[in-house]
Amino acid sequence: MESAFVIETIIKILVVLGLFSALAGFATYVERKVLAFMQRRLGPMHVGPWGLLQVLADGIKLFTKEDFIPQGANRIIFMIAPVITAASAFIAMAAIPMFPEFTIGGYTVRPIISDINVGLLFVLGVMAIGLYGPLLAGMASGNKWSLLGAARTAVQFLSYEVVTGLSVLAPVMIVGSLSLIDFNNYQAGGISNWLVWKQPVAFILFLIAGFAETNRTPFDLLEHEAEVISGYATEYSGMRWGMFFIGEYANMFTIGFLASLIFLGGFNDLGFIPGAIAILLKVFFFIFLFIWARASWPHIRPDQLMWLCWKVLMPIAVINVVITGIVMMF
Amino acid sequence: MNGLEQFKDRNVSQNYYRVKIEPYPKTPWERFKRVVRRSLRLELFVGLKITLMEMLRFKIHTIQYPKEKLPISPRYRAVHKLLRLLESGNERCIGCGLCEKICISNCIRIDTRPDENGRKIPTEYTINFGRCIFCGYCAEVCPELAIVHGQDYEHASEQRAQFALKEDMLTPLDKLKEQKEYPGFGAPTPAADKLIKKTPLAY
Amino acid sequence: MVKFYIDGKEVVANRGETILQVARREGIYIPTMCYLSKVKPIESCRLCVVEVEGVEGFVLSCQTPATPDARITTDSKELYEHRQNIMKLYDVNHPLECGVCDKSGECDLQNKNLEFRVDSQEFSARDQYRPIQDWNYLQYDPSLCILCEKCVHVCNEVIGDDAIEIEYGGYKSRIIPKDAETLDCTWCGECVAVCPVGAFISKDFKYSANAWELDRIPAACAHCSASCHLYYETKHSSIENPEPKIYRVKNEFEFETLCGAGRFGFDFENREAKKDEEAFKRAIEAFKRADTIKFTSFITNEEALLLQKMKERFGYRLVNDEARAYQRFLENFSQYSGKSLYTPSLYDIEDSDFIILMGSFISSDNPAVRYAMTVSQKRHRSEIVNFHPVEDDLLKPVVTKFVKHEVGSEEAALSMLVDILCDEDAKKRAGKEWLESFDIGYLSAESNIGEEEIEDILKRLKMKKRRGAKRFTLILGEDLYTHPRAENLAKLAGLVDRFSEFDVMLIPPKTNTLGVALICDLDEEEGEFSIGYNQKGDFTLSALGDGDLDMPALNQQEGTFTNIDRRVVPTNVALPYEGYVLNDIAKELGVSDKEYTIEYTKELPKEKGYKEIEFDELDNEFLNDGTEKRGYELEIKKVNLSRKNIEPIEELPEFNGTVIYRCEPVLQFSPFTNKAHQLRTKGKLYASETFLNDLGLKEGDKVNIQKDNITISIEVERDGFIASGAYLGRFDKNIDTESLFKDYRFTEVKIQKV
Repeated sequence: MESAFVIETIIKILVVLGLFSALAGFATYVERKVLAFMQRRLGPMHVGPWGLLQVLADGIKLFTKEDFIPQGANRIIFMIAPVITAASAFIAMAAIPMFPEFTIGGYTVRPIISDINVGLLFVLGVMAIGLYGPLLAGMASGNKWSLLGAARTAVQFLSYEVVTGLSVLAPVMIVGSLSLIDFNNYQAGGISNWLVWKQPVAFILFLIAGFAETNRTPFDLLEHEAEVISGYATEYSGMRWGMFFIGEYANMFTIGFLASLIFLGGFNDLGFIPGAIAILLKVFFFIFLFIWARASWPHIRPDQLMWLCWKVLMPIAVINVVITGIVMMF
Repeated sequence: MNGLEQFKDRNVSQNYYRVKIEPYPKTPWERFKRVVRRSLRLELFVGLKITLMEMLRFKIHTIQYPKEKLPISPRYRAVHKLLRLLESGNERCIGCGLCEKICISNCIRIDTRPDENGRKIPTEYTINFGRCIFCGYCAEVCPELAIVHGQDYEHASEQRAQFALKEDMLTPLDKLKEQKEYPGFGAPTPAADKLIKKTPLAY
Repeated sequence: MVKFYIDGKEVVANRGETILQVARREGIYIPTMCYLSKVKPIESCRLCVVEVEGVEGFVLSCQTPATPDARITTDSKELYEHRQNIMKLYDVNHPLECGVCDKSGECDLQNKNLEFRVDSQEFSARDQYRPIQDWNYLQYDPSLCILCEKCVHVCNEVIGDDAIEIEYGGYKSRIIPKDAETLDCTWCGECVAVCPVGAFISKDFKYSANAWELDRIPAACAHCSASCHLYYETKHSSIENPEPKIYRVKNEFEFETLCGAGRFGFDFENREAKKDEEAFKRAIEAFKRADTIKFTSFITNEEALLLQKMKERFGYRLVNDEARAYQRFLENFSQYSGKSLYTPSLYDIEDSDFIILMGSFISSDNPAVRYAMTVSQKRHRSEIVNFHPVEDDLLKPVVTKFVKHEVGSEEAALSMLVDILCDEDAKKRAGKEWLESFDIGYLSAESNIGEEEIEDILKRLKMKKRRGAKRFTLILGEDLYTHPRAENLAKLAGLVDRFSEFDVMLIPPKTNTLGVALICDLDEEEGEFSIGYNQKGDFTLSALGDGDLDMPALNQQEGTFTNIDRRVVPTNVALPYEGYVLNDIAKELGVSDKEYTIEYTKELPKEKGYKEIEFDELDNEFLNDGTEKRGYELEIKKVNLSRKNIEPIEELPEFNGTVIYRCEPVLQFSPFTNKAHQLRTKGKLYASETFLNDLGLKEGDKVNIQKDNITISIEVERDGFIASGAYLGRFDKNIDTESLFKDYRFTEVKIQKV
């Protein structure tokens, strides 16, 4: 039993790692295509049919590119920083139940690497660690743009961590558990049971915070070309640079899963749609939403970002928690 | 206009209109009102709708360049061509040197000499394309419509001397039939004949 | 002095000045097509018409002198229309080939058409077939010709060839060679220069460059002592070769005249000379060893000064036979004339009423003098007497009296002139012995100059004087400087200059002979080891590119020449030169401390009349009224008169048998002219018809010329321009004619047909 568990876990880890790395790559392709279509363009067309192999070409490019470390950089931290981003993104996935349980050859598989009872806390905590990646990368690069990018990272990620935490507090209060499987089970039984109806404000706050946490437009201030060249990633090249982006796209999936699990009924069957497909659809809707927003909205200024976080979102989140509490009390 | 031709239509000015800009809020109260108004009107979603509709309509404007090419304007100024007379196949260039003179980047040079019939011929004609700014003055000043701008804009090469010699620019004799009369820079207007005052001739 | 008004501006005309001349001097523009300052008004274009208040109709400004207080208008609506119509008529059947025409860009017809806005044509005439004429260096296209007649007039009135004329025939009119099938002249090319359109062009230049592409470099012609002002026009050689090349020579044809050698012999540069350090080291060693520098006068004043400085430092002997002869002649002349230099200039010759020429084959020795004489003859019918043993047919239209004398009898001729030109005082000054030895009968018999010829000259002179002649010039040439009795001849010339109304001019034989004679202390004898500069020496510096070390040719150098007008004229670098120059050697030897040769311009010896003026301060231009502003004129100093008497006339030398003369054919002056690609030719024995008949020779025969133990094998060519005798040139460096003529320009030789 013990060894089967270890093997199962290792297989799950490998599947998650491989699958999400590939999905991250694929997401870049999707992003480019969707952005292009929304802008009346075609996007990548040359490599493979409809440019499908562009991802592969980019991968080869990233892997074979020179790994460049600038002279003034702190070598060790510079080299470790992207690993932190990528690793924390993947570690966060450990406590996320991706699909409903299923059986292969009589062996029941639970598609979660580790069902810990503080799952949500773990995911949010590990994702928060991810901020060390850009922060250290920017500080270690020995470059002004990088440093500015790092400073923005610290400010933005820390601030929005507060909103994320407060926004999920209300659903946690309702469900009464931090395990994501409990969240899922709480919403079993159709669309009407989804938490989003009970907590619409929390859902919107969580989504906005999710944009900021994953460094997506309109909150992509960390590496905005027009302002800070490429921010913390200015000095990075090759696969080290690639790891930041694998991290970013993995985080997008994580947020997508979290939002689906907490607010949109998770992997419960949706009418005739089996749960596994349902959650995938939900996650891909969120991914699409990320891209869609990027195509539609301009990004905002750092001061507007902070203003939104501390003066708008956080008060609303607190009020939401209080109201939820009052409602639950009576 | 259909197909790629429509992209050549640059006559778009009649569709311009003035954008109404509401006054900028001055007091915090006004600013707050604007936030509320914009939020309630769901202005953010207007943007999302536009992009989504564009995607669904799928009206792609991309020209996939090496496979597809836009037809270029006859006044386009690409690498020069030296034309020949259509009937005889003789070179049109008479070596008058006006292009050499007018060239503002001073990149044209001609060597001339009298040929066996005592006519002036250019023995060599070069344009330094490292210097040429493709302004079109040479084509405009040419009295014989001999030096013209070609339509061939794909001129990347390993050597800067490429395309620059007379034999590169001159229409080859066997391609004489394919030579097109030049309608671009400096060519006579369609009504040119009407505008010319004729010299009386005694015979 | 006449005061009048042009366009309201008050102007003053000198005696005889026309309205146009005054206007040009004052910078007032009157358009012309046919007017040429240096010839008489041609009056063929009628473009120069002006309105005079109170006078009906238009007045031709080019030939009308102003009346006092006349009010003249140069531009009005009527005048404009009149001129516009003239231009339209000029355009009738003028081919529209500006695109290829050589003249395009500097064409008077183009300019005036634009000026009078001729943009359409109302007149027409049947076009005529007038084929292009090919005349040696020139080409004439009758259909481009506007028949302004400038070329005809310049050929007749300035050059004296009188080789072309107009064949009248309405629209068929054209220029044709006068009395000949094809043009045979001295090829001065002045017709090309004055042609306002592209009718007369240089065949060599044809279609090789456009006027506007060429860089103009003002310079002085390096071929003869006239050092005419000219422009070298340069452009890159070809697309492959960006090195500049001289394409043609232009001149200020309104005011001065260039000969064919100057116009067509321009590319005599020392090509591809590089800094050859080995050769330079050998040159320095040779200079350390040498005791003699042999050189020619084809150098600048500054180089001459450098040579002189080398002599002062190292005691070299400076050997230059021709300049030495001239120097001695000039010294002796000054001691008897009292002036350090001769006074007349070419302008004085143009103004002279009576000119006697002696001892020079002027049409090839110095064409500028010939042109000046032609001008004086045509402008005011001056008398021109020429004393020479060789009859020059080229001078026939100019010379009013030719006196042929025996070879070597110049002393007799000059003595006879002294006898008639000078008063008794002068003869006394010459000395009793000379007077006693003066036996006109003997001299006349020996020199073959008839007494009646001298009488005739005297008669003509008196006639001229009665008609108010003012200026008299005696021009002496190289024959006299090389004559064995040169010293005495110089003294006699000095007497003429001092005691008669005649001013004497001594033609410097080579480009800068006068400069060299003034600047260098020249020696007679060569030492043991000689450096040759453009001469054969034990170590040879050569601008011809055939020596041990390359030197720049005169179109690759800047510096000054002292020309026949006693003027120090600047010349500039037309073509790049990368080798060593004389100053480099002087620097290496410690003689020179200057970086550039021209820094010596202001150091030229003041005691000889030079001025302390920097090279860059020297002018090099002509003013609107034709005033020559080139460099400066040498100051003429007073010289103490010699108290020595003139030697009695010696028995005249006898030249028997075959005598040949030393002079260059027309268009040649030196190996430099022969290096120019248009003029390049092989040296020959040029003989007159009579000479050929006497010796039973034909053109093209090979002969051996023998003198003492020297034999030269050479081809014979008939020269139609001389009526008698034969001559050899020195321009072909492959033929050693130098050794035949030790000093005098005539020599007795044996000629055998091979």
